[in-house]
Amino acid sequence: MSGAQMASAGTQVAAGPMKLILGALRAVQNLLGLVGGLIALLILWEVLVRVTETPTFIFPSASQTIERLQEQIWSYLYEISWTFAAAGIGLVIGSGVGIIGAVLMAQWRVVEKSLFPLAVFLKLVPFIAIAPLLVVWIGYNLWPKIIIAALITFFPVLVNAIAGLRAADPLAVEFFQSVGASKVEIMTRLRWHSSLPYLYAALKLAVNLSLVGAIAGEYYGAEHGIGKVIEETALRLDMRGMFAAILMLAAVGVTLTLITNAIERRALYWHESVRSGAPQ
Amino acid sequence: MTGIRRFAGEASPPFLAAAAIIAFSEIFVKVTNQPAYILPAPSAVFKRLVDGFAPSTVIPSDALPIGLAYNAQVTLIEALLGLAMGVTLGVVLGVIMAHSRRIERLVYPIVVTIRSTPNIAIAPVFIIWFGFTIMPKAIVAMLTTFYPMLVNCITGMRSVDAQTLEFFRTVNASPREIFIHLRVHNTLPYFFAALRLSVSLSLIGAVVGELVGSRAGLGRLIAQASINLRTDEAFAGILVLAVMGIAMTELVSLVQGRVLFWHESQRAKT
Repeated sequence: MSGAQMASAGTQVAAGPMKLILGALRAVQNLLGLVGGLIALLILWEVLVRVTETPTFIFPSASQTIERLQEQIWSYLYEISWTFAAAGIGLVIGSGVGIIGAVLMAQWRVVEKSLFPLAVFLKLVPFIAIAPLLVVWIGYNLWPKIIIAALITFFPVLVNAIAGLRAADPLAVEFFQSVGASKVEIMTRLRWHSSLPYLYAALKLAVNLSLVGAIAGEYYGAEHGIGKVIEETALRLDMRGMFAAILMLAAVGVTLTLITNAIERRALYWHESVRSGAPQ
Repeated sequence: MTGIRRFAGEASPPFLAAAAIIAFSEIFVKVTNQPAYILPAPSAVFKRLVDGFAPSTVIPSDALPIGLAYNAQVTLIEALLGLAMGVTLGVVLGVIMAHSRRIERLVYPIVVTIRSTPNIAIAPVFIIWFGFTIMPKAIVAMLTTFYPMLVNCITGMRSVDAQTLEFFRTVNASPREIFIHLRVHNTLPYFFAALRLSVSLSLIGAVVGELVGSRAGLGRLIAQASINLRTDEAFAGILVLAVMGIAMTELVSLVQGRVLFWHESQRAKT
């Protein structure tokens, strides 16, 4: 809801269509640069492996890996969709509960005072270690992966959302109060916006962590998933198959990063982190 | 006196909340009679914790040391080595990339690819290459930690105040002086912010490496305990990991407070 609001505000701010075209051109240029860089990376990989004559069972070349990926693409896509489902559902649950919890905690000072420091500590716990336990508890299905992904994304999102809600300019809060804004209005119009940069920082980490969590669960027992593929190829020392699966995950991961960065840039066009053009 | 009172006012609510949660779960487990392998009572976990730190606890069957202290030390060394490698890589790359846009454009795709690939997927490769040594875990921890450091270093190096930079130029400061007295100085708050995040990420990296394949370490201890339904031991291991993560982060905060005493983020505290 606020995203749409801000997007419409963004078109108003941009003075004339010229700026929009320039912005689009720059985005395309950036994307081309990245794609070019990735292709250069693949060529470098191929050349390095050929020149050093590294055997396939240690480091397969780019062409061998891509060839293998072409053969397996449909089965790998199928497996990765399981990983994605687990990571995605876990991410939505973990960050959703985190955001709702943060908004609720910001309403009650006592709750925030007693639970926020605990959450800050719990954020530092590597909950990924619990993955094997969840698999033993729940079984070889999708649920342990969803729970682990939700658990490791929950605390970073919760802590950053609260920190962001708190970071609202006290003078602005006072102004809102002086013009008779309700608590809900202060939350939706002010605090929520000040928390967005913090939230996006946490979400970007959470996207990656949720995938790590889902794959960790798959290593410890699963019927499907890219983690299971990687584990099986590792057991067979099938380096080509393993690299093909990793290459696929890398491609998907880069796409995800580009998407989250694009969303962040749209939503936070007003924030200095986006305006300064620093890498994200 | 007021300091103590303020500290008590700040620290007691979370402490009370934690105590309440622990007491509630103890009663819940006792009343509902949960079997220990499903949900151990906090007292059982605590007992495991104390036992785990007793000297010379060894499983006779495969002669692996299971003492929590030993495994914690293994994980700590892996995480610290990975952290050191990650921080070095992040700072060096950050300085180079902040210096030249061309190099940044060249290196950025590689960095993004490494960051976007889940580290746990790459871990088996390193285990095949290096075996069950410290290296795979340290490398995974490095890959997990270097990115925040890199981004914050670039931001810190670039975000110097334009007027201060101009002043440095008018007094004929050499590029080296500008680098040390202005850019490095300006980067320090960003560096510590990244370090605080990296410290907990390095533990995650080490544990991820251990989950994929290892002979020792808390990650392996927890995995083994889980598989053998020694749930209390798994919880004890997670508790130790939690204490390690908190202690390491607090240590960074302490150093940060000493080094950055001049920075507004620190001065606002007092």
